[in-house]
Amino acid sequence: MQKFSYESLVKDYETNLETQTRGFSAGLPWLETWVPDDDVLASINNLIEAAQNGGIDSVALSVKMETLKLLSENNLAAHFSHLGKIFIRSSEEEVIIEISDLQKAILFSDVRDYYKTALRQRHDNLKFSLNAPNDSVVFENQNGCLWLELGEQEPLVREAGFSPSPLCAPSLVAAMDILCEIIIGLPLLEVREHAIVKLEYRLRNREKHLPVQGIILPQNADSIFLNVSELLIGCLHKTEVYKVREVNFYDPGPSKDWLARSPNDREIECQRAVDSSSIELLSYAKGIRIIDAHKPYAVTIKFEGDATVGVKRKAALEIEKILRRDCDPRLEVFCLEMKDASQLRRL
Amino acid sequence: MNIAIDDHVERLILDGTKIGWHTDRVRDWMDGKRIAPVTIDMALTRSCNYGCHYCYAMLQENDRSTINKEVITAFLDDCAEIGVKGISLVSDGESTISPVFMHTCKYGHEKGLSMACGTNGFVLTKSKSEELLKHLTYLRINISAGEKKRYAEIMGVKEEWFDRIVQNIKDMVAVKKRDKLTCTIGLQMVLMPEYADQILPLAHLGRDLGVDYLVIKHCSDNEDGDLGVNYSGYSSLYDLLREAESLSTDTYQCTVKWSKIEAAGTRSYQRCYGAPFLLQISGSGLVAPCGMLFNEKYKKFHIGNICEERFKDIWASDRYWEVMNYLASPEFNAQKMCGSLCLQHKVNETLDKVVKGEAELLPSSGDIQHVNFI
Repeated sequence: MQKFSYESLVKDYETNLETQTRGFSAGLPWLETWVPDDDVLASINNLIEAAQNGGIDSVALSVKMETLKLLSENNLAAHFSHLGKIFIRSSEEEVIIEISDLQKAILFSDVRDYYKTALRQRHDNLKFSLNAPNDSVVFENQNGCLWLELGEQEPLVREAGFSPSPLCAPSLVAAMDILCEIIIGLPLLEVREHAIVKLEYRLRNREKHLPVQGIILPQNADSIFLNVSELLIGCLHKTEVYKVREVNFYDPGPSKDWLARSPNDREIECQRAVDSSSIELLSYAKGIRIIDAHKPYAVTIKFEGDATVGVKRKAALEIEKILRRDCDPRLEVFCLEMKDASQLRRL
Repeated sequence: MNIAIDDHVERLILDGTKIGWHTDRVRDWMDGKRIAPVTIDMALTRSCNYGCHYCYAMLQENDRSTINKEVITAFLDDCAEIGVKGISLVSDGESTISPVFMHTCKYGHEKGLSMACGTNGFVLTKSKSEELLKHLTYLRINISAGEKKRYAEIMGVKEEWFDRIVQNIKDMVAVKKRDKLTCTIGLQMVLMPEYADQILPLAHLGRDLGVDYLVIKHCSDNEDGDLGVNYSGYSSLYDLLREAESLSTDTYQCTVKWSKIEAAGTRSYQRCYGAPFLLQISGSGLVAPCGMLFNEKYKKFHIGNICEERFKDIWASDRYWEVMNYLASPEFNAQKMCGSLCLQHKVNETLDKVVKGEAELLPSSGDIQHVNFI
């Protein structure tokens, strides 16, 4: 894999801007669509895209630490992962970004960057690309065949799979595969109401720019969700679920493992999870104390130290995400409740 | 199925949503644009001169700041600039006891905002009503009893305060009639099952006083049931409630919020889509998606404070949209993580059906009162 220096490429470009008139070139044939940007991440992103458009399948880019400033390896990897397979090595002076499978990643150019990484990674590792068994509920369109095997006693999805047609875009193949994973084990009513919302959420790459400025809904996020919906709704219409009028109260609750732990053990595990994030969230260590975890779905925290109110607010929501990832997906985080200051009222 | 929001038989929509009259904003929201709230419900202070037995504000304590004239003027300027349409002064405090109350109503009205107020009405004497009513779309008196002794017990005040309230309401009605004002004057009963004996006395009182409406609603409680509302107790009151509604006349509408009372505190939806349309601000200046999340314990959802930052900057901030997106995501389940039936409930119900594809929101037609209070 040939290695290029980002700073040299930028310097050459700037030199060429001043010395070339007609037939301006960035220097290398596969860099024809690249224009450097003051935003380094955007600039590198465009450079890799230029390589992709120029037919290159892999490229290694060295970038000086002083150019990247405080960006971490994880940030970099997440930022470019939608473009291909990323491998990052760093030393004190520079970071080497190696990116491959660029031509494979280009097959996912039909979806927004926000969703590409999850889809691309899943496409390399499909789990539910299976033919429909007998007795399954099946719906087929030009993209392929979605099937559901339903529970005998209860209306839930026991198994699911998607058999793509040759015309089916790789992005949709991957999306349907993840959808199957999401819906297995869910009641049909929950699938009807929330499967697409859950899929959209699962595919998000939080390092990328949001697909919209306001509220992200499957309807506005990307047209891929319309294609997924068509298959899913088509399949669901072959069941009785659209005749159901009862309210859907599905909530998986805390996991059995989490429920089995004592409140003390839950507190310890939550404390361990937040301790490792205190510096990132508050800029100092030991800034978050777990006060109470006696309810299996709720954790009360107390902030210590002198972080500002704004920082604490943001941190509180991030802590909920961390605890859901590291401890139990159903956890809710609360700060200490403030009691009514009024002396007139009864509570 | 189409949601025919304009298919109503009432003169006022008191048990529903007016989101159907704002389909342009709903369309923008569905397209992923940043929309300004149609309505903001707020208070000018968290303080109150009453001690109502049922008051949700007991559960909403948070760090207090003072909303002074400079703060509220800037806030109203920002609201008008970004496209907010209505400001209701209800939320978690008694706004009429704030020194900036009159200025707020007048200035907001001048800025083209629809202004409204929910109040115990105690300080709104005739001279104040003469100044105030011309700036308001509606004025709603919180009153959960129609008899003096029970009024004192339920509202946590002296018995003679009932007489002051009755006089104030009479004066409001008289001023409205004399000056030919369009302000709607109504009463609201927050009903706990143990106030059943006051349903009919209050319904009669409302008619006798000549107000435009009495609305009877359920009592909200938090997700832990700290106010002790017995939701199963409402069903035994249905006959009384229908009898109260039967006292309606051509000029007096007595309406029960059946959809909330019959729902027994449960929601049909899990995502919260309504907060960007109907935002709430505490009397402390705290901006949160809704009143149920005002308490310090919900700090994870707190967005900013209008006493510290300009509202338009808070609204345009990444933090605002991060919180709103969280509530609209599978990370949040309103059935489990919210108190019982909030201000945004009917908006949530409607938008949830639209997002799920179970309904299409058609633009509603015809004139409707209080259109900017969804």
